[in-house]
Amino acid sequence: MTVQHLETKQKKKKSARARADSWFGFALTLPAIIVLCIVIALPILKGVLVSFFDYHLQDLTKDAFNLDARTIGGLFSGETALVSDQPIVPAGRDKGASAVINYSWNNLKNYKDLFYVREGKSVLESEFFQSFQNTVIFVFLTVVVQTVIGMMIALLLNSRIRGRGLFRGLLLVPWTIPSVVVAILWRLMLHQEGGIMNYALFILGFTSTTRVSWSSSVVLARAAIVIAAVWRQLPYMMVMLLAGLQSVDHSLQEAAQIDGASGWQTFMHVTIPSIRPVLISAVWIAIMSNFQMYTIIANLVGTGSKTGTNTLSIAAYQEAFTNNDFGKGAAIGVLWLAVLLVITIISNRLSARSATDYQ
Amino acid sequence: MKKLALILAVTLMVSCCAFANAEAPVTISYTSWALAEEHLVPIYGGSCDAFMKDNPDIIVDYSQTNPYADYLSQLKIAAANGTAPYVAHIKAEWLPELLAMGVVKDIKPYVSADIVGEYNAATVAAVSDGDRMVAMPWFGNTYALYCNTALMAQAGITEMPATWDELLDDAYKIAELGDDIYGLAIPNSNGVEAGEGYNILPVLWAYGADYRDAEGNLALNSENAVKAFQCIKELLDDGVSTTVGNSFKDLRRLFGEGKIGFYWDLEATIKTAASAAANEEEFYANFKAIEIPGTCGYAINHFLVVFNNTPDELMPAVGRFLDYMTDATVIGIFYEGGQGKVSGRASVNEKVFVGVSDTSAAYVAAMGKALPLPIDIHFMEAESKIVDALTMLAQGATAQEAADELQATIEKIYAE
Repeated sequence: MTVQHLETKQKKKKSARARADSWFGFALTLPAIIVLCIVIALPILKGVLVSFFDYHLQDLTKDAFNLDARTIGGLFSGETALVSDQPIVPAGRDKGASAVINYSWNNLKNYKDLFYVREGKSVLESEFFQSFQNTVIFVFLTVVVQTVIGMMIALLLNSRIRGRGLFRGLLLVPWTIPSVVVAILWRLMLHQEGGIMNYALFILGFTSTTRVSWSSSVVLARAAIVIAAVWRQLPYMMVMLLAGLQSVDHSLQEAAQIDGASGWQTFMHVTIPSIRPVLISAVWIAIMSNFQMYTIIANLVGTGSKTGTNTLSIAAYQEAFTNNDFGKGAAIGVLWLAVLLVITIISNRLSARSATDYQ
Repeated sequence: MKKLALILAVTLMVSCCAFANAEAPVTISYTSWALAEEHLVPIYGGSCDAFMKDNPDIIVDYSQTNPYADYLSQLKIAAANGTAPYVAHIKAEWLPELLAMGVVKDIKPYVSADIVGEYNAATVAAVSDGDRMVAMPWFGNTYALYCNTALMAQAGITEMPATWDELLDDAYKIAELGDDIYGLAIPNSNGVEAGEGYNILPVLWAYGADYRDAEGNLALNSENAVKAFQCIKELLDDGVSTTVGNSFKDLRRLFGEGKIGFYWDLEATIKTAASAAANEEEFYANFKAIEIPGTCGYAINHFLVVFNNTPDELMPAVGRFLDYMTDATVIGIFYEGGQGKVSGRASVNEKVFVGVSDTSAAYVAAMGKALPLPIDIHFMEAESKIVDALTMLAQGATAQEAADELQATIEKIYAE
């Protein structure tokens, strides 16, 4: 037996073992994959499907597809269609299905409605663009403010100050409070009649009255939801950035200072690049969670469409659960998902590039 | 010995038969948003307890509930899925949606024809869908004007307002008492709470306007409707009314604190306002409820519906429950609880509302004149758009702009 023959035999053994390991790993992850498919992938797919159809409360109990032999057979013989634009009454049960998909096709009406504008108005004034604009403004302001303030607090807590542990504990408190409670708390604090924030702003000379209505103007209503959201989420940002700061190699900072770098230069050119992966992850998670924000907005300033706070989440909820138009609600969700997918792809690319730059 | 064994065997068989014949009580489920409010459980749950006491063969499970804000959406989802409680308390304006969903059961064969015969034709029509009876009329309530007589006295007002113009004049006089005092408050929480859109109907009616005109067309930007919106705008601009951000709950608190001269609200919420007062005795001494002058309140009718998922064999028990809930015992429990609920059955009202207080008498009188809400399948969605119009007025839009925008938006909803 030659050495070459032995090596080939060993390689074959290894490859067989690797394949067995791979199958074993797959088998171990299979239950998790099945659960994820059931609770995430299938609802998303159904959401995408119903966004193209008339789908109201009475359709909730309908099966999505007529998959009986007669209907499938009819599809090939031309007797049944893939979709029907007629309301389908218990199809596939008594009289035979008229279409494979059990909902009524509405010629993209759900999507068209989102971009509907009255004559003489720009498409930018359509329901979708208004909600999208409100969402972007809210997310941008909230994430920027919480990142800046979170970084300042994290830097402070990363330095050697007295009572650092106590401050860290206290600053975490807002994170433990449920969003609905935060919304009600801020609603009371910003209330026109007896709100303590109005009183404080008056005493400090920022306002000329103690009775400011924060819901009566677009700017103030947006400010109110940003303040409440930042207050609630600041501890999360602070903890993430603090964890990043604590992992920074101090020798790099000392080297920069020995080379004559100022504190700001050290921060910008050593600290920030060192925590960039943490920073990007924290900002990205904050963007995602604020894109989905419903509770604070709805309970603080309400769901009315004239206060500039009607975000995509509010619009989707209103369509689905107030107007019972699940198809249109799903259409908002699908467009929203598409926007987030684009942002995710861009973010991942930026993140990968920054990691390469740093290496 | 054989005889003894025979006797014992026969006795055992007879006992077994008797045991098998003793019917176990049947259980029906019932829900109301009021059951989610602790202080209302003795009234709404108490009614079920009274029924169970008088009908020991039926158990009413009233453990399932949702707070008002989520109640309708959760109920609709449960009904669509066939998992709703068998009997549910609803507001009349919700019935068209439930009918469109096809989830409501015909109760006509199971409720007493004599009881149904006591309701007027309009009420019976409101719960009928062709030959089917799709809901049991339960009770109605309406709004009366809360008046703070202490503020009226401070403003030099000696008599209760008798017309809409007098009410406005008095409201302006009261508002002049201070920056934080409001004459006539109109709630608008911008959608945090529901029901604030149709709350402006009394103002529309005061100016001869309405949601629809005589031909049935939407008329929210008619000449009279614009006058009504102009009145609301002036109340907001002049600081006579509270502005955006104040819900009914806020108004109750402010009224209790003595900061509002007039606003319309339910009899059941007088206690809530009183609880915000520094001195409850003083509050009641300065409180008076009258019919809204120059206009009237809107009737909020409450029904009981039975969902399709109720097994047919339980329907006789459900029918007995529905009959009982409309009877004097239950309406009496509501009256004792200060709920201001008036039955549509004259015989019940005659038994319950005997020697009532001036406040209750005002509500009973207001109920007699109250107009129905313009209920249809899109009304609830349209209602939220009226709230947007109120917000527009507070943000500086003219009455004409707000009315035109409202009319166009609601027309589109109906066109769809």
